[in-house]
Amino acid sequence: MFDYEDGKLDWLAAGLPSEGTNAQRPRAGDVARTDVPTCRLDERLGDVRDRARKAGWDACVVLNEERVVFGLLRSKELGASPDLRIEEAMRPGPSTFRPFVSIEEMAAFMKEHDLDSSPITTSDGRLVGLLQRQDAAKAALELHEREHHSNGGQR
Amino acid sequence: MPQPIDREEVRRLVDRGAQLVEVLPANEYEEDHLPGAINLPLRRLEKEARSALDRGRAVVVYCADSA
Amino acid sequence: MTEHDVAVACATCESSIERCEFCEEPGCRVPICHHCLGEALGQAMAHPHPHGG
Repeated sequence: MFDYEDGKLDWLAAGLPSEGTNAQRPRAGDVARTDVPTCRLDERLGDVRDRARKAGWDACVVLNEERVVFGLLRSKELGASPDLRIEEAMRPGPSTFRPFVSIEEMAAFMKEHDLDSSPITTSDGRLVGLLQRQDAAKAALELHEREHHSNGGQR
Repeated sequence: MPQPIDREEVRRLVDRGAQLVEVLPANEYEEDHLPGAINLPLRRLEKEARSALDRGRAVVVYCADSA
Repeated sequence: MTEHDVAVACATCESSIERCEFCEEPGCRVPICHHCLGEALGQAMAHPHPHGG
């Protein structure tokens, strides 16, 4: 017999699939955008900004070779001097959230704190995607409507 | 005494046919569980393991976390 | 960003914190501490890789 000591939370925090009633409800990892632009610490801000905006984004996540999140560039950071290195311009060590966090909670928090985007990472810091506020709000609303209109709101 | 393993070892064992057993209460199991896991709350584990589990396959037990 | 961050109180537990752990903005109206945020979201909120600053 074997004991998976780190347990279910470790499994979910790694973004691995699960079964059960919660698995049918969208979570942060399901809604996060995996196509968010990424960059390295040693890149030039101007180059990264141009690349991000060309892709239609006003944000970029700073990763190392193992896709561990080191920093975040939102609109404000991207607007700094183009000759800065990413390491100087970025917002270092941003707060990150696990893939299994409920989308309703994230949507509520993002609205309450007026936050446009939140990095979603596994428990070891690897990027899953960037959760956008409007996507979170939309998913939370759709979930609410779906549950409210089916079986009298039974969960 | 069960042998402690990590996530990657769980995946390897499951690929080779191991049985997953969540020992948390039923309501927690119903909300979320590892794919294919059965529920045998701790207080029932000893009593029902014999009938619920295939003795020819490895068994991996887990709960919420290591706390 | 000033080095002299004024301490604020977590809106949930009133503990003293430097900044909101959710949005990290000094002027957040409803700052929340690391512990309370972890409780609210049901997650262990380990910050990213230690080398990430």
